Amino acid sequence: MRLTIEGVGKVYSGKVWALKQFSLELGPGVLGLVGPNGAGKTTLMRILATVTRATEGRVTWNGVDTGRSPDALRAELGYLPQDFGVYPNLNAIEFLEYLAAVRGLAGRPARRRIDELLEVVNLLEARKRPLGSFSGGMKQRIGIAQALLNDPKLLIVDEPTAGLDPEERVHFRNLLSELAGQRVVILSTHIVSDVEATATQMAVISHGRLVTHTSPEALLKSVAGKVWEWVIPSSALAKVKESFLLSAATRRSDGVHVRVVDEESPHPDATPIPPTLEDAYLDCISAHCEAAAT
Amino acid sequence: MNTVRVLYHLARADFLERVRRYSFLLTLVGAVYLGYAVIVGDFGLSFAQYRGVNNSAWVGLQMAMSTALLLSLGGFYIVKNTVDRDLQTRVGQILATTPIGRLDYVLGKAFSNFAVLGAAMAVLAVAAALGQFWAGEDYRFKLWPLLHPFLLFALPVIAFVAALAVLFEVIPWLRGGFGNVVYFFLYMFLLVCGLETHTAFTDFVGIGAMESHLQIWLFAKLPDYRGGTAFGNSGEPVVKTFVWEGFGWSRELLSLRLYWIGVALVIVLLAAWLFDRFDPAGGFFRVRPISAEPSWWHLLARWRKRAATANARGNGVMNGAAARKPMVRLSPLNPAALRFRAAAVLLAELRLMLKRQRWWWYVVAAGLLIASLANPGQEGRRELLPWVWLWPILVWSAMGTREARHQTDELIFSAAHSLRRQFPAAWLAGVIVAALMGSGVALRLLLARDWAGLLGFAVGAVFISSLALAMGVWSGTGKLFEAVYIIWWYIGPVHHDRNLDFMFTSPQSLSWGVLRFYLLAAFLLFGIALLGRRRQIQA
Repeated sequence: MRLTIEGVGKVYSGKVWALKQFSLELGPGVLGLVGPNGAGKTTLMRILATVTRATEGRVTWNGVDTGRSPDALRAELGYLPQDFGVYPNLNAIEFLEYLAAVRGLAGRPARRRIDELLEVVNLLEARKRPLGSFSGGMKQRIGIAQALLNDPKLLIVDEPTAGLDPEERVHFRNLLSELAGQRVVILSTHIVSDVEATATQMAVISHGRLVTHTSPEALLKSVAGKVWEWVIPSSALAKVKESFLLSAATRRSDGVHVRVVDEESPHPDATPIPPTLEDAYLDCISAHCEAAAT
Repeated sequence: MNTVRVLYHLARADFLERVRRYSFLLTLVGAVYLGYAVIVGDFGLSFAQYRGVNNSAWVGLQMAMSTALLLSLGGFYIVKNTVDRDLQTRVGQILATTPIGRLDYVLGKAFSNFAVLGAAMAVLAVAAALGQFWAGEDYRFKLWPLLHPFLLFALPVIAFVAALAVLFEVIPWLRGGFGNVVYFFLYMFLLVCGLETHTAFTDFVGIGAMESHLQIWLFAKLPDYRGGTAFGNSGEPVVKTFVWEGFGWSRELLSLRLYWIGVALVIVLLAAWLFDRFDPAGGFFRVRPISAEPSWWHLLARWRKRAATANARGNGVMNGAAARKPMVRLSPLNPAALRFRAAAVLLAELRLMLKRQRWWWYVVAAGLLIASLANPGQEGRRELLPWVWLWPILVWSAMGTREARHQTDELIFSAAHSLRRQFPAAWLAGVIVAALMGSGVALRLLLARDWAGLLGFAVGAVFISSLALAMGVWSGTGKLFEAVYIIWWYIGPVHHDRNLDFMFTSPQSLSWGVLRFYLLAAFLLFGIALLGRRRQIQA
């Protein structure tokens, strides 16, 4: 199983490049695709899912060009779009049966699979309720279930944990890790903790370009010894925000605990602390933004 | 002042959103075509053997009447989407949290509707001016006589239509396709009453008022005029002309037309009173939310599946506590299970089409089926088939648009071979709905061994499904099909127009040539729909 992205670019309205010269090669495992809003994550997901075509470059799945022969990939694809809807008058089983039939899975195997999936996404008790009465989180779980209907070899999930409560989020992360063994999973998100919990590889995207493709461990290593924490009064917070790359600020009884990413100690009271993936991501994005600005 | 500013910005934002869509461009193209048709005489106004010399007043009158007549029907379908768009885009949720009043909102939307239709009217007014020089009968250009009929006839019509479209949108059960059908019948009622009775209360297009005033003038000026008015080709040769310089100031005519602007204002007030501020639980019409409780449909399904459910419970599948287990492992899927079954997709499409209908829809459908079974072949086909095939109009109008409307397009288009598998199934489901609805008529035809009638029935079913799918895929909305289908239905099958009767309700329309035309059209439309869907998939 190999997904290859070669110099892919996408232009909208004839001038806005949402994606430019994007290249990546993926094998089995979970790739966490992270980037700020408008970085081009969803455009890339849509190209990989064959929902839209790249303006330039090509994507191949096991050597087959997905632009020319999209059905070769679609037969093995599970896709959860960022924004999707449901048919409000159908219940969960009927909706999944419909999509299963469209995906070429029908009869008894489909029903067995749907029962299993509804159990996995904790919707067994609500399976006979019309989807129009579902909450946002429940609809998201239906989306997750439909993406897994055909036991896909390539699973693309775009912001899958949006709208899920903390318990369901943890549940989904575990499910994703479980699924990753023998398939390619691409998880696009701006929630770094989701990537931290599941991804074996990471790709950071900004301004439509690939900033880095690495492992979470390697990205963490890049900021080792560069994350500092100290306590400041509330009144000094604005100045710290202005002067440093602020990763977190937590108000406590003794003042505001600020967490900063910097090459050198930002303050005499600052102490180095172990970095998180979020620190590394912010440092990576900020360095790219600075480079892009110059 | 603040209210005026709010109204201005509401109407402006809505107007800009609309004029930047392709559909507005198409509206203007349609207006240009209408202008051309009037100039070349396709919509010519004549009084028996007479017509006016093409001076500013006459050209203005012809164009204004054509504008009033066509925008009163087509214009409604063009503008009836403004409140719905706020619902679909959820901008309405944001607006509901602002201090904007119900009247301000409704008035702003009505102004926007008015502006859109006004733009089309402006195009036609320019076309009228050009038309005068095109005709070349009188080169003296007079602005007021040319514009006067537009202000007198077209303006009240677009004000009325703009207000009525908003009223239909704030009433939940008139917001969708049902409202589109209801408007057609309301339009026909008002138009026919206006023409028959010449009363101000129903003559919103103003044809009766125009006819009365001109006929009085013609009787006084032309001794051999014996009455009669026609739009388009009347069959009588138009060989004489008269010079008409326009309407003078007539308090009666003015009050007749101002009456409709007053009606438009009353409609806006009514719409404001009924508007629920995007709260389905509030307002005059409380929308029944989709219940979390099982419906009668589900109860029936539950009864059917009781045995299977009990079995599942026995296996612990339904155990709620088990469902909350931290990790449930998915079994690998046997690749042999991934085998396409056309029947499964077809059944799924049929279920999707019919599931959204309420119980009373099935009751009426069953009533029509029984009535058509009870009627002998020829009578059933002639009188009942048009109604039998009008009833599922909203089922067909959802074809080709469902994926975009419910945002399931990415889920379906990313499935393998959806163009080859799902799309033909959707088309066939439309044909099956037509066949099922008309099965009473078909059975009667079969019993009567009316093979030509049966062939016509089959061609009609195929044509309807193809038309719905093509229009749905290319327009992205069911409104185009609803408007075109009902007008076509009224002219063709209801009035048994030989060439437009796609349901083949009379033996006259069952000629091989007409059958062949509709069969060919059905396949052509299916091809067009297929191209449209292909374009959507490969966006």
